[in-house]
Amino acid sequence: MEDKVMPEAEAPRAEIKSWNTSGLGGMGEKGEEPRFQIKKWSAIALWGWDICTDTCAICRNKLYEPSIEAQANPQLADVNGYSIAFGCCGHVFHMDCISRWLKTRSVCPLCNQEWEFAKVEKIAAFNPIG
Amino acid sequence: MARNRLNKEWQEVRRNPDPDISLELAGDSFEQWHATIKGPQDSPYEGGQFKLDIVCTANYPYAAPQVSFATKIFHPNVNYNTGELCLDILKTDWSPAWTLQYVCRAVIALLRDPNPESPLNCDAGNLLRNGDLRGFRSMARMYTTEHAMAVA
Repeated sequence: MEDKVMPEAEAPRAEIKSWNTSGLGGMGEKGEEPRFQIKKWSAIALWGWDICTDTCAICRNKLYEPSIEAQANPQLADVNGYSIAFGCCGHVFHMDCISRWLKTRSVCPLCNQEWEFAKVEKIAAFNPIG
Repeated sequence: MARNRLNKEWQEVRRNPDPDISLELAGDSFEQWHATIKGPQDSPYEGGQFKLDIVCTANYPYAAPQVSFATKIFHPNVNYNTGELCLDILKTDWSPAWTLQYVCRAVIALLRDPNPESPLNCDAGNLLRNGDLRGFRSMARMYTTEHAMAVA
């Protein structure tokens, strides 16, 4: 997401009649008065993590870095060490960490509910080959 | 995995030590640990220092660590002779999200709340099951004084 600075002092003037990108903040094409002006612009951004923690409770590495196993043996690591598994219970682990645990017991390590995969995502900012 | 994960735990323990738990490496590998826990307040173990031996296999944290008392203790869920202890989270209910420090806290909680229904020490279990709290407390207190408070 790119940062956009929108200070209140520089409220853009907008014209609704011929709305286009170049028209934002300018006058109408024929130089007529705009129908309305934006006098004040208070930009409000809302954001949140879609996961409630940033650490894998099994290996204790951050979820935006590879699992401890993938980190220790990068040549052996497959894509699972660079993926995040989301459970239906809302808990999140590295894919290889949770897969290995599920062979022992098919429950979430944090809430003890029966484990079900909600989705699996590759770690965004990481390229295992590069 | 076990080694790296335990190394992380070790750093975490040094950063945030628990006043009731001292956790130390035994030897050069991350396999063997010594822990010393303080007997909880308002229990017959209060004032005692109990040593635990902890062994982590290569499969840790997918497999629970093996924990036993090195200090003699009179408790329904601890075998008096071997120090073996019966704690659900070290057996069937283990989770890889737990840590050695968490295990030590669980052992302290077990000292505070014994479970007489699954005794490894029948004498201690029977005293509690028969409602002889006074008898249990005085026995546990005696062993605490004798074994866990020996060092002046």
